[in-house]
Amino acid sequence: MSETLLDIKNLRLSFFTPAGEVKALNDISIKMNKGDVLGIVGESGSGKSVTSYAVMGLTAYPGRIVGGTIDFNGHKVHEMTEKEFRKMRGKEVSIIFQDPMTSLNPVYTIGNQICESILLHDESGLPKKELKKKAKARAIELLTLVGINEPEKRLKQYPHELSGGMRQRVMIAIALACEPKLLIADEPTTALDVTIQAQILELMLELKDKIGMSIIMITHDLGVVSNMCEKIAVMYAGKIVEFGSTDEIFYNPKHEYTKGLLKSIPKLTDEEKEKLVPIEGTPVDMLNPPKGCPFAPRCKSCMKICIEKMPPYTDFSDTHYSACWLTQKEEFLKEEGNN
Amino acid sequence: MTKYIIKRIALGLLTVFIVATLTFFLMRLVPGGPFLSEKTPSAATLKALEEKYHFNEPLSVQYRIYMENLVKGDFGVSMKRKGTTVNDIIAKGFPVSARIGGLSILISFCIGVPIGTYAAYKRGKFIDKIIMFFATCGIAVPSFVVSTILLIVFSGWLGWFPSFGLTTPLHYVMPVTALCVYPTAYISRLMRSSMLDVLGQDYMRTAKAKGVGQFSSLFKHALRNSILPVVTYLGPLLAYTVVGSFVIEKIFNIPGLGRDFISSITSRDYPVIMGTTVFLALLLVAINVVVDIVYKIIDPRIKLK
Amino acid sequence: MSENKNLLSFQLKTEDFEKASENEKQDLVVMRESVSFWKDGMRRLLRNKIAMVSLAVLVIIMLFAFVVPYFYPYTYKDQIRGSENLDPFEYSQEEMTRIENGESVFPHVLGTDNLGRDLAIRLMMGARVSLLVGIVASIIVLIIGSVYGAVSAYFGGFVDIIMMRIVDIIYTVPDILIIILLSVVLKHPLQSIADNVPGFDWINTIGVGLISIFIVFGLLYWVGMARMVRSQILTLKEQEYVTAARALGAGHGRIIRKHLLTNCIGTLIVITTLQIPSSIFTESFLSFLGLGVAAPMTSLGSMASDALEGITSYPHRLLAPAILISVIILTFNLFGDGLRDAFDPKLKD
Repeated sequence: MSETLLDIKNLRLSFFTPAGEVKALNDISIKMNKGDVLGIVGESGSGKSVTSYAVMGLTAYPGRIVGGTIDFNGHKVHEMTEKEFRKMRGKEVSIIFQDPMTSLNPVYTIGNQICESILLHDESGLPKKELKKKAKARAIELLTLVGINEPEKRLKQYPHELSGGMRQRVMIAIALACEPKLLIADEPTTALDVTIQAQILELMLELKDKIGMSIIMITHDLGVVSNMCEKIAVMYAGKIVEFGSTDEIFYNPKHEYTKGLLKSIPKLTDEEKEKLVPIEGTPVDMLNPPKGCPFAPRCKSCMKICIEKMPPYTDFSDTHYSACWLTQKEEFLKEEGNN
Repeated sequence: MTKYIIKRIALGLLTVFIVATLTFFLMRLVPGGPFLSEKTPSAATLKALEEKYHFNEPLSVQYRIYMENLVKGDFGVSMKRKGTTVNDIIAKGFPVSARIGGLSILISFCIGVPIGTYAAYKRGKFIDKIIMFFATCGIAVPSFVVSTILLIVFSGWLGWFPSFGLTTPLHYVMPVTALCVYPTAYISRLMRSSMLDVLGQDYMRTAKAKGVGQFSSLFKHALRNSILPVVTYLGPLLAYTVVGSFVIEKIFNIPGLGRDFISSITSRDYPVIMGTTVFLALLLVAINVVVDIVYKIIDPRIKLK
Repeated sequence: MSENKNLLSFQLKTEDFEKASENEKQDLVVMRESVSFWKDGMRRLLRNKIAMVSLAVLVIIMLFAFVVPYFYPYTYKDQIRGSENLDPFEYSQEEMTRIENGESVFPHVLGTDNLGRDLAIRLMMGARVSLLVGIVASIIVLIIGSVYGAVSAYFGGFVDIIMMRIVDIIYTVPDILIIILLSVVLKHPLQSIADNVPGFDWINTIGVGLISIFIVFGLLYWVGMARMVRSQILTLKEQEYVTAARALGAGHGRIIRKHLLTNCIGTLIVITTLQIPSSIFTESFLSFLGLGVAAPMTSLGSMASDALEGITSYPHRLLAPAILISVIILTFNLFGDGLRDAFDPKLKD
């Protein structure tokens, strides 16, 4: 096994709103090795973005880590100060946001914004003039890398002069400026056209191999993860309900929510006209989470225990585990019989 | 861009033209002409006056003469102050008003922008609430209230500053302060809300994710975006300052254009009213055009259109 | 990675694994009480302490402005001989003898002016005028602005372009100059209408200055409102229910009234409320310059202007109207902010 890059253990994070404490993350544990591509899947509000922001110390006010640890590339992230974060962000871990339209500062040129990232983390100690020259050369190199033609001309352009796909490429260029160990992609293709989506995903995979970084892919699109990721974490209401390799999740889903998700994506290969099955109901109110399994109210095979108690994790293989009472039912009945 | 500038200037000229025309016909609306309110002059004087001011001609001819004179930059002759042209009055009064007004605009920008930024940066904290409390009070107090209170306290009770005239730098303190209060308060509120809006933008998150420090993200990334709405406020601010100067100059007895304008209203000196109105309208419209164009220049998003 | 806990530690029973009934599942879904837009807004407004205090202060000021004068022993125009230039709570010689004779004399709470008029009642009347101007002017602005904006947005295209160009021009006209000009000019014609045309003598009671202020507000101040309403309607008219209403044969007028304006009523209320203090501001300014209400009627601005001459000997005559006008504007602003936060948070500038 290769080296561990990111190890999140029992992470708990809450937002302290005027209406009360919102437990956005509840006992999250994730382990990632160098070179891994991890997918985090879930519906809006399930805590996928919050998890990744916590790694970068980008948790928005009034959110706060209330428990657990995050170890990343030798840093104890949960204990870091803002100053330490600043050195790490953009250099060791970078992020691409969902909406490239609003993620670039409209009043500065593309070149300015790429160079900023390079200059911030430069440690060569060159005189300013040379440094700027070097940064510009690097920016051109980066733009070429992300597949933007006429990079020298683009450097002088403003974000509004580029298309959405182009801007996302620029965002990737900014993120890769210092060759980070980990790239967090927060729904990088949601705001783009379908044709552009594929290009961007392909680009990311290509660059991953070139630079040798790991990627956390946050999405609600199972199609995207199936193509890109080796491991998948399925999140629901601030909890990882199932974790496994892509094959395990797609061919042997254990949690009812994962099963529901898989049933709700259309398949072109199916011979019969299979009906798409939506997951009925709406996510839980995070202000008043139920004491049992958060998915219970929407679960087709909900049992009495599901309403009462939070299910523990069950391991199915080294990489595959889930939290669902159903998987424990048989085991329990067996043990009952023995007694 | 050139097309926009031309369009904007054309609209400005149209506005000035409308104001000038409106002024002319409104003044002619006064029943019996402008001389009636005076102590009944003799028939001969009246005739002479009428000829001098072309009142014996038909309205269209009068309008034409008035417009021709305006284009030439001739605003006419005062009826009450014998031998003084309106141009003289403007030339004498305007620099005084411009000094006070310009100074107060400058000061309100220099105080309002940093204060608003600071309040946004400290949003929700005690200091933010204090700043916003004073700013909210500041926009509720008319300038005549500020100036009279200043007059009572600093001139009457404490005797720190002279109350009337405009001869020494000390004379400037109270009028400029009185004129500043409202715009400073308004700009800090505007700056704060604009800053808060910008701070919540995605690109601020991007900057943070790049590793940009708080200071530099505030001044490099946020300030330039959030100052744009404040720049557009310059137009209304100037209008406020012009109007405020009427009150301030009356209270502090400052020999500026505002005081002349107000006294011309009370003494019904119609050419002065008309001339000053058109001049001030021209000034306001011109500044607005300049502000609009500058805005387009500093906001690159609109550059290409 | 996960600790496989011993199942027995949970002390499970077989019944636990029975299928849960729909009812049990439903109990879990904690539905927040669904509240209507108005109820929700009212709740937020009532919780806003600053807005509620402002409202209370406004109500008190309105009581003093509109109700108390009817029970007050003095009137705003009575010139009491011998009681000129009294200090607050001071009695004139004549009043002292009356008190000695056992009569009760109501004190001049704020003293009297140089004509012997009681300043307290004048202050109340001044507040009444200022409030009336603010409210009436805002209603004028509301009506003209919302109708104009709605029509412009609803019909769109060429109509919209023309109507908005007009707004652009009016917007760039320096309004205060025109207001001053108009109030100078309108004084005479209005006066002659009031004197000569029967049925128009009410103009004299209100004062020519006030009427011209209203006219000017009606002519110029609605453009901001029109723009705001237009942008709201532009988004609203794309909504499905408007198409549905049209498909059902509703006329233009009905769609604008029933479907479009009612849906931006929150915005309308907020802008109108915030318009009130700015109208009061303008009125006080004009009155201060001597262009507002006609004597003997008074307004807070003209009271301050009157008091300017005796500023060193009688500062309270100036401070009273000055403070009152600031308080009125401040409370309206704060209450308007509260309304905005409660009913139209998007509008937050």
